[in-house]
Amino acid sequence: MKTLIVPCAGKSSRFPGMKPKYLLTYPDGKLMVEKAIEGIELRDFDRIIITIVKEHEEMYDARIILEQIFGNQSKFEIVVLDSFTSSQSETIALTLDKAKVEGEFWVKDSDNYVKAPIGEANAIVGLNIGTYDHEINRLGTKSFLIVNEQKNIVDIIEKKITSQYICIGVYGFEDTSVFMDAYMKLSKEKNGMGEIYISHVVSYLIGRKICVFKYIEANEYEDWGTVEDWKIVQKKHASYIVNLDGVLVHNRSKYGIMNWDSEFITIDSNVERLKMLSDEGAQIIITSTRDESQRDRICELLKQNGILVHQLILGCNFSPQIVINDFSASNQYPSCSAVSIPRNGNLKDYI
Amino acid sequence: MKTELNGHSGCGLKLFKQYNTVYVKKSSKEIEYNERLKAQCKKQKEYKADKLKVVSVLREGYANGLFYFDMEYISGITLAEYMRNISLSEIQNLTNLLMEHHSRRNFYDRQAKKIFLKKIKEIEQKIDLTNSSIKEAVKILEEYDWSYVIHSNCHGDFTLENMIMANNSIYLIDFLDSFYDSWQIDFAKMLQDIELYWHYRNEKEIDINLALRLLILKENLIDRVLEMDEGEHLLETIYHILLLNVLRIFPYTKEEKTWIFLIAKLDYVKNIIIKKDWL
Ligand SMILES: Nc1ncnc2c1ncn2[C@@H]1O[C@H](COP(=O)(O)OP(=O)(O)OP(=O)(O)O)[C@@H](O)[C@H]1O
Ligand SMILES: [Mg+2]
Repeated sequence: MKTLIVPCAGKSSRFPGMKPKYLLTYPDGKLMVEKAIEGIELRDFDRIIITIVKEHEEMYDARIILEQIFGNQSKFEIVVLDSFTSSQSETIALTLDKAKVEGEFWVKDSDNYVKAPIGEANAIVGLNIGTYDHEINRLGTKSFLIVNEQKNIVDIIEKKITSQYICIGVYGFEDTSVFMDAYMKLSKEKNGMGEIYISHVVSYLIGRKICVFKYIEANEYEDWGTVEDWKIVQKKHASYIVNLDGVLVHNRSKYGIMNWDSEFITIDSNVERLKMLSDEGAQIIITSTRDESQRDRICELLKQNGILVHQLILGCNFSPQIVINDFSASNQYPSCSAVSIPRNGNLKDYI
Repeated sequence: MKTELNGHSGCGLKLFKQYNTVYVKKSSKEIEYNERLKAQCKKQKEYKADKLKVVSVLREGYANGLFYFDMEYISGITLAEYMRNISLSEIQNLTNLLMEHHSRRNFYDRQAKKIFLKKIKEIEQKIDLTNSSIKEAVKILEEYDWSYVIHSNCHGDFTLENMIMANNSIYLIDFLDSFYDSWQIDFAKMLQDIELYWHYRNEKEIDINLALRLLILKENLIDRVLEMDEGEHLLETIYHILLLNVLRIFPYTKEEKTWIFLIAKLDYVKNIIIKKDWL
């Protein structure tokens, strides 16, 4: 029996004024909780449990939403806790108990994306920041792992940049009792241990030589721990509505010696900039006053330049363009903006 | 070359350099302290510590009527600091090393009770017995039968800052004559830092890395005592000594903050003793 637990019982205090963060919509339309397990091979698990709190069930239809997403999978379960917990490890302890979980189990944070080959517990999935080529926010708040040549974790250091391996919130325990005993120990500790992170439980197990934890390296990682992280993701995946003539290619009119049918002269620096945005995840929508007869040529041009185009909208008015969008806590003001550049001007001066 | 080292007592502690080697000079600041420091020096010279090392005394003497002794300089960090960054996997080795010091053969000293009760009486004279926490602690100590005390070699001030970690060894410094010699006295002194956080008392908050490491070390050490013959009795005695240690600090306490800290620790240790809640 192998169980995956996705704890969603925190207060989301780093996402003020919004619905519970795990219900926020990712730019591709999936919810955060759905994205959170997208990089994990779910076939390896016999049970998948998402733990939420009653308040979220009542106020945000959390259960209904989760059932709409995962309902067709029989191994999927929801555990509802009466109240918020004081730590992620408490959420796990309550889940193990309520859902009568037995044997090996894994925990996956609900607020990040991790792609990693989950093997056998005991193990922690970590990220090698030496080879990871994206920025990592709030590095100083992470747990750092010291890994030996056997890929065993020999030390965990909280919030001090001491190694190139960081913990990214995926933990595997060989048995529920291993976790439970250590968690109970720490939670009843006479000196008081404050908020007990799962990494503290693992530290205790390693230090007391109760278990050995293996290091598993993640291939991909994206963090959504705070609104700032989330905004970065939203921005990365923004929709860019870009006019063709005068922005990506030298402006042509319908008539004259040089016209719509003349060879395109690309504005290379702008094409390059757009390709970069597209590569990072932006959605590109191209608009043009040119008519349908031009569609294939334009598509071919954009394809040649490696720009992934979501939509090409032709036959637009010869007039200013205005984008209108609503804003809210989860898609904050300004939820849209516009950039006017001089004809054939340099995009890099503006975005 | 002269550099001050930071100590607590009235002793002067300076680094000197001679023939290109650095050494430490510990000297008495007043004539009244001479005898105490002399005893410390003697103990440091004669101490047999098995697996632990003792910093060697190079020479001793008087300057302006004040006693001093020179000792080897150990380039390392105290165990108190070392605990902040010790690797989780290394705590077991440290436990083994420390237990070498504490695994003396069982032989209960029937004279111990008298000595302990005398010490308790002596402390009673110096502290405020109107405070209920203090009063209860004294009562617990007086009623304890002190029949599981082992007479053995003893450092006398076995705090984490009197051990210097260097080259994978622990070097002992700052020996003290104790009212009674037992490894249990040293063990209790160690718990004063490891479990009661005495050394770290001025820190706003104990860093979680340190707290976890101290907890693991404490549990390892306690496990080892419990494994000994009549381990629980030995441990019970250790916690009574710890309670006694806390009481002994009160007469020297001037700051209110420290006083509050000590009362909390007194209650903490009392609870452990009453509930026999060692782990
Ligand atoms: N030989 C030495 N080599 C390196 N460091 C030393 C040495 N002796 C002392 N120290 C440093 O100085 C600190 C204080 O030294 P020591 O414990 O001897 O003095 P103290 O605690 O002030 O004395 P006392 O307990 O007699 O009042 C030690 O914790 C250690 O950091
Ligand atoms: Mg000292």
